[in-house]
Amino acid sequence: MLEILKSMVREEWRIHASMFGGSMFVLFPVLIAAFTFGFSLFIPMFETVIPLRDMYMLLHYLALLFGVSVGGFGLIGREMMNRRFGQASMVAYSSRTLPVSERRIFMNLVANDTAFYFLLYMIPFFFGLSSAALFTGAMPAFSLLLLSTIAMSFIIGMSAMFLLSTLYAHFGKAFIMLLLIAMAAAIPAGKFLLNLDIVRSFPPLAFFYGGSAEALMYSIFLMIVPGGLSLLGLKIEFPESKRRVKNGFDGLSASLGRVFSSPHFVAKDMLDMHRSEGGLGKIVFSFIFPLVLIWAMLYIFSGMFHFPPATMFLIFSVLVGALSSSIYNWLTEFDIFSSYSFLPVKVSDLIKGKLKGFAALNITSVAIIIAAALLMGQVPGLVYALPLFAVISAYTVSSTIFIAGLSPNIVIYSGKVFLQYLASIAPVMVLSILGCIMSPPALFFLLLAFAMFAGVFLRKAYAKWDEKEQPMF
Amino acid sequence: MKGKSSRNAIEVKGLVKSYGSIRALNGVNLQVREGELFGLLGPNGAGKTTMIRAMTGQIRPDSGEIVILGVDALKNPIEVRGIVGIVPEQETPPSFLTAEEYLHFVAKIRNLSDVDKRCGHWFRLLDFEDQRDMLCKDLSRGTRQKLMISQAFLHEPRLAFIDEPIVNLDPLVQKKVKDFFRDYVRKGGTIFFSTHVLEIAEEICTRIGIIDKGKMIYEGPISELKRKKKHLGDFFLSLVKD
Repeated sequence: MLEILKSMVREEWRIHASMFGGSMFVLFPVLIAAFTFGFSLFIPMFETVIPLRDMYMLLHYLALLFGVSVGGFGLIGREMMNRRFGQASMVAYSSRTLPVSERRIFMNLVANDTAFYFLLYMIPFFFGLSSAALFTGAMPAFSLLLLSTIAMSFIIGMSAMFLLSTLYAHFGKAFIMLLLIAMAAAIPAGKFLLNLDIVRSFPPLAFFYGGSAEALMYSIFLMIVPGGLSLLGLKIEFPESKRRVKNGFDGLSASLGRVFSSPHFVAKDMLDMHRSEGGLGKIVFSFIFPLVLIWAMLYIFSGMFHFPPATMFLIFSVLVGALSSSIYNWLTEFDIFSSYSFLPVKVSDLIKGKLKGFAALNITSVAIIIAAALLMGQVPGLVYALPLFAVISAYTVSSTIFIAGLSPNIVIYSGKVFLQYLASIAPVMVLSILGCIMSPPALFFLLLAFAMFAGVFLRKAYAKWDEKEQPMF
Repeated sequence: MKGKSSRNAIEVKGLVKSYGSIRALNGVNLQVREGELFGLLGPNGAGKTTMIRAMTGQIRPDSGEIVILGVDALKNPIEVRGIVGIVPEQETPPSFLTAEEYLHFVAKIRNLSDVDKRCGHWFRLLDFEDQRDMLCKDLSRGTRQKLMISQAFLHEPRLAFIDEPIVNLDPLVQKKVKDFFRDYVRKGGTIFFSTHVLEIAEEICTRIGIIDKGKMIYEGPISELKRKKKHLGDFFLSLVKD
């Protein structure tokens, strides 16, 4: 068991190291630690507005959110394991040739990914936070209790999302419908559920605050049971299940042709999304769920900061815009350029196709913003919120393309790329959120500038990626 | 299209390509005339795939000149890939399109009309009509190779580059493909293919080149070997055994 895990960890390291060098890969967690350190130096300043106790709460919920956003293992399946890094042959795909079951391989894959998230994000984050505490004295430095409860929050998020995605893999759209209905039914209870006392009773947080054995037991239960059930009920697609489908490409391509030029690229991407294991589940679990959690967190914190609902709604639109660039990441997951390199196609042709798919799928984001406006009684605010979302979304996706081209999911772990990404996104996010809080009319000028930058990024990105030789498998 | 002409379909001069410290191509010169069925032979890792990728503008060489059907492949790689057909070494059609949808997708990229007629021809010729509605991820390697051969010839190119053409195909389809290649060059088309299966080269090529460690170590008509009663296998081994 351990041998497989060790091989997977070694493999993951070598894949990234071979793509952008071992030092760049090592730089990634160093940067996470450095940024957390820098940010944490301001904690005493934040403390004048928000009590430390609530900052701890924010930390735990951020860890939960991170776990939720990366825990959709049930959607992965075999094909993903194979295609994640092009046609590279992975240990995860070796159950065909080795006397090891699919389930065992998959358990190792989950363990491998969890270990990597800890090594790349959680531990550096904790290290940065604690190092800063040595200087500020704002919170206890290197508190094992804090590390443990943050880790628990992260694992609970992962475990819950693993269970939901596994249920989706079994029951498909019916489960999603049920889930959405349940969420809609929970809306009237929202104000009650988002009460601070209830929010603070999140077991790892309660254990951190009070150290009660009961909270610890609940935390362990929430970490182990959903993940364990998921592993037991895991659905893995076997190659024997050969699918025959009618030609959906021609019709879809013709329909999309009314809106887009070169619609065949978009049609292919849409069919990829629809027919792959992720499909609708990917939109719900990797996008809608994290956004619902963000909305809930904003709701709680706007109460604490005494933000008017209009401001909170605008900030939410900014965050939806930023998160929407993950749609582009999904669209690039199924492709490697070597599948096209023998055709008269440029890298920029593919990127343009994916951008069109991104624009089409981004309707989901618009629907979420409209739903939030209706729920919060902020329909007039849509006049600001929709352009704000559109520009932030265009900016983040353009800079993602400029920095990472067709491989955002992989190259983000290069320290250099991560730094470039942060440098391009963070100022825009900070300025936009400050604009929302301080002066919504001033946002107009900011948006104009961001839109111009987005255009420049895209134009330069096409030239850059057409010039750069793509990896061939 | 008809017969061999005196015009060059492929002209390569001083081609060099390195991957880090490894020199994959080391000053390769080559000319292939229109109407030839040229086989590039070499052991694993000799530079065959790199050679095809460089000639078709899929990778950029460090130095050298490449002219394909009169087009400079270094300046206009997209134009080159537009006029030639390429069967890549790895058969990687998109997983979630069916075989038929993939051919239609390629036809759209190449701006072709009569798509159903063209696709139907290839499904019948290579005998995989019954698998046209299966997702590419579920096709066998052999069927994926048939699909890749079909996409390469869908636009009836004058020149085709084929990397390891028939290794995954069953003997019946192998024969059909070999017959098609012969017929194709008889009508004036040109085929450049790379392989390490010497029997195939001996059977169908009009001319061969042998590449080893990035250098072209032999080039000549297959008829010359036959005239000298040399067996290609022995000849190949005598050249590359060191």
